[in-house]
Amino acid sequence: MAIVAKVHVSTLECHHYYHRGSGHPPLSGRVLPRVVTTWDPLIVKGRRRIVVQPCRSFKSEDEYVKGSETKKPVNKLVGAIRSAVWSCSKPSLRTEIKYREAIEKLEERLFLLALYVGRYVITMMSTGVVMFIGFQLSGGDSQMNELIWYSWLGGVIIGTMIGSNLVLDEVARAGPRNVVITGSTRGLGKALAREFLLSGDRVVVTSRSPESVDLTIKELEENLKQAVNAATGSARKKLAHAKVVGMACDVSEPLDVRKLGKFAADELGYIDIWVNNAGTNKGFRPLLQFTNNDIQEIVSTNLIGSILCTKEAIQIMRTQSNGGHVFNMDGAGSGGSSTPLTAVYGSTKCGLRQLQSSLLKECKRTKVGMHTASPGMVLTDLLLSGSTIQNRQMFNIICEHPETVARTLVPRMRVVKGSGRAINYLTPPRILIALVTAWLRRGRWFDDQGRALYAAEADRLRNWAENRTRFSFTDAMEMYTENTWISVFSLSVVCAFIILSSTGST
Amino acid sequence: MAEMSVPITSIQFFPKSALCSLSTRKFNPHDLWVGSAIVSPSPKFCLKSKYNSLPFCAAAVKAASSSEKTQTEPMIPPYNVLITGGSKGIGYALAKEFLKAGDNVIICSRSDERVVSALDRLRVETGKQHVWGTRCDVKEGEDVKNLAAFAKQKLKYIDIWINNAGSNAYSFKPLAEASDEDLIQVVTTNTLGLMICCREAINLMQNQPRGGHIFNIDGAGSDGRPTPRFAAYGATKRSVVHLTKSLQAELEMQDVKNVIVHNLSPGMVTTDLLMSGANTKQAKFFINVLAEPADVVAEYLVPNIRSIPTNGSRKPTYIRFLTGLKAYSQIFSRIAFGARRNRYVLED
Repeated sequence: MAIVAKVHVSTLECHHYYHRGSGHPPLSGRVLPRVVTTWDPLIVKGRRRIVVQPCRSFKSEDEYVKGSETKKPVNKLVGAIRSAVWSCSKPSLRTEIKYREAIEKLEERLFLLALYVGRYVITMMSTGVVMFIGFQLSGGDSQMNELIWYSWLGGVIIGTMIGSNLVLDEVARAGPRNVVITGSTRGLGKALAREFLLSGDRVVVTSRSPESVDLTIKELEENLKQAVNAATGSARKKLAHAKVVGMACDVSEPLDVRKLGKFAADELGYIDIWVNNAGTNKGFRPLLQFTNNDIQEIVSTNLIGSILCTKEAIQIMRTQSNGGHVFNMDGAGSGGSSTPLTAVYGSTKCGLRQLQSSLLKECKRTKVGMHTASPGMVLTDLLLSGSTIQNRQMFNIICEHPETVARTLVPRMRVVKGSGRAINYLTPPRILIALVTAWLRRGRWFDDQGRALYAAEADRLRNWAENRTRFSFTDAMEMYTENTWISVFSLSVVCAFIILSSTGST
Repeated sequence: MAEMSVPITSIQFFPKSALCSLSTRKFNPHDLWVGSAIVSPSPKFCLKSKYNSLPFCAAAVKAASSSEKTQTEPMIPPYNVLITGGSKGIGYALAKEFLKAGDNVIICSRSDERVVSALDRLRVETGKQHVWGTRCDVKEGEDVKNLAAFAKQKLKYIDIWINNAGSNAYSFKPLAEASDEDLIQVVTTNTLGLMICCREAINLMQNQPRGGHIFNIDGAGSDGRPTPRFAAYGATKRSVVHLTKSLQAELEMQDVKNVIVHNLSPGMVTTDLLMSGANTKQAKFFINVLAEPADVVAEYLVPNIRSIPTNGSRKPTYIRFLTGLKAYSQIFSRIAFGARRNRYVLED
């Protein structure tokens, strides 16, 4: 437990530090930026969530082999120290500037080492304190002492598990992904594309109209440029490989989909993540008032489009040595509950959920992962077209901007492993908080008359960097994977057991 | 079977897991639901009925006849029945049964020849003449409109509209190997066609004094269980059940009382659609154990369907041929006594 808590706090601190450092010109010459970079490797997790430039570590494409990277951070560290010491002691380098640089580098690395040692010491001390208290409580009972030693051992093992989990996660976050997102010229798709792009990934955007694809590419490139300009050091290096390309594609046309797959494979080399985001609804009204074209468009975009795209993605990914991951977007009706007034949309989404379970079985022995991503309720045209004032009052409570949702979904989509994962935005803690704070959320997006109170997309993006720095409690809770929570829970149970049993004996 | 409208809730506790593990490995046979009853009413719908403050189960039959305010005419046989895709398979068998019961039947199919030949056979086999047919591709909005107009012209009104047209493109392979045309055909026939048919049927029936009943035929995957090797088909059938649910809620919201949407589950039927997938060991096993010929299924389903307008019932139902109990006992007798082995296809 100590480890988790500590790491967490440190992320926050250095994150603020970082921002102060980058916001104002450095006060004390070169010291400040240097310190900033030294903190870098440790705060990846926090920064990934909170700061504009996500994902620090970056591996070139050639190193892109997932399995063999678990031990890298430590090896890298030792190697770096060795090389720094070596370069310091080389006589040929002893010109004034180079010498200073080398020293700086050494200092940096040593600081890193000290940090690792410090972490270790603090962890050991905190476990020592826990044990000491345990021994005090047990009052010298040898059986009790034995019990404490065993639970200490258990704690160490669990702690190691948590630690390695963190390291693995950090490693998995590294490296650019090649991402295809369908229907990504507006709404959630665009937000996802932007988020992937700013994580240093290569993104293919698609839409039915070539004009909006061009516009989106331009806009995203502009965003990327801004991010690169604002970034420093390794963050900039990470963004170096980010790029955005796109083509027009109607997902319900088999030829278009095949072309898209070919285009993505040619342009990027391989595809890691394929997001079937394209979906349409055509307003809220009874089935009787939907025209033939409406129904056809909804079915062909939502169901045919997803099936064809999934098929294409599986065909491409099966041949890749690293496999890949396909995400289908959930929507209203996925769970099987009825969706009056959006009967067509709901039933296509419900069908997609069944498709997911079938494909999970079909892809069992392949390297292709089938996942679902559920954005919850997002303030996009799809939801807002034809919504009533009453609807909008409800939206106040549970809805979010696409950027907010994308910020949560993308990091987890990037590191997804295995198959059959569900990545949801509306998780129990979020729903709980939304319900508890429902009163405060009145008039958050819409006023009593149902008029929108929130800024347009461009304005939102302008404030984006600042918004991102705001710390969100739920984000922090999401930061740790389920496994970690289980470990933390079992550890606290062990602690509680010690304390309880020892108080009982005295 | 007409008296089966009282729900037998105890069957709901029938263990599901054993069946799941057997059936969902590679091949998920059509309709292995462990249902609550043969005709299971949806309580949600009935509880909100404005005309009926009594507990719905006890008063269901009475309530229907006492709440005739919106319905000016009660439904009396013979019924006018429309079956989409009734030229072969289960649709054809249903048409035959309805004819035998004395109802007027309209069938349709994508090709004119099939309609004509089906009409001839129906007339010969049943000896009845009141059957009509027309060409209709259910995924074409215009065709379905014409079908509704044709029905109106021939029979003036439709009491029972059965959305039976469904397709699997007769291919059973992993999604990645399926052809685009097949996938599109499956989705457009099963989902798009069904939606358009539902819309037209509601449109037609809303204005009829007798009201009407719509039956959507489900299939493998409609309970949400995976259907590998025919993933697209399963997804569309899942969406059918969901559509039925949404339509029920929608009609209730709009206060439409004279149109009721039901689900109809024929179970596994030895039609071309199913038999084209009989090429794995597991598939053969389940086809032999659980499938029935279309005639047998129709003989069971048609009296059940007809009992709904006869009773004047207004609650949405889910009529199942292959109930969980039946499936279990058939699997048990197969394993215990080797019954039904090599019944339709040769196992090895």
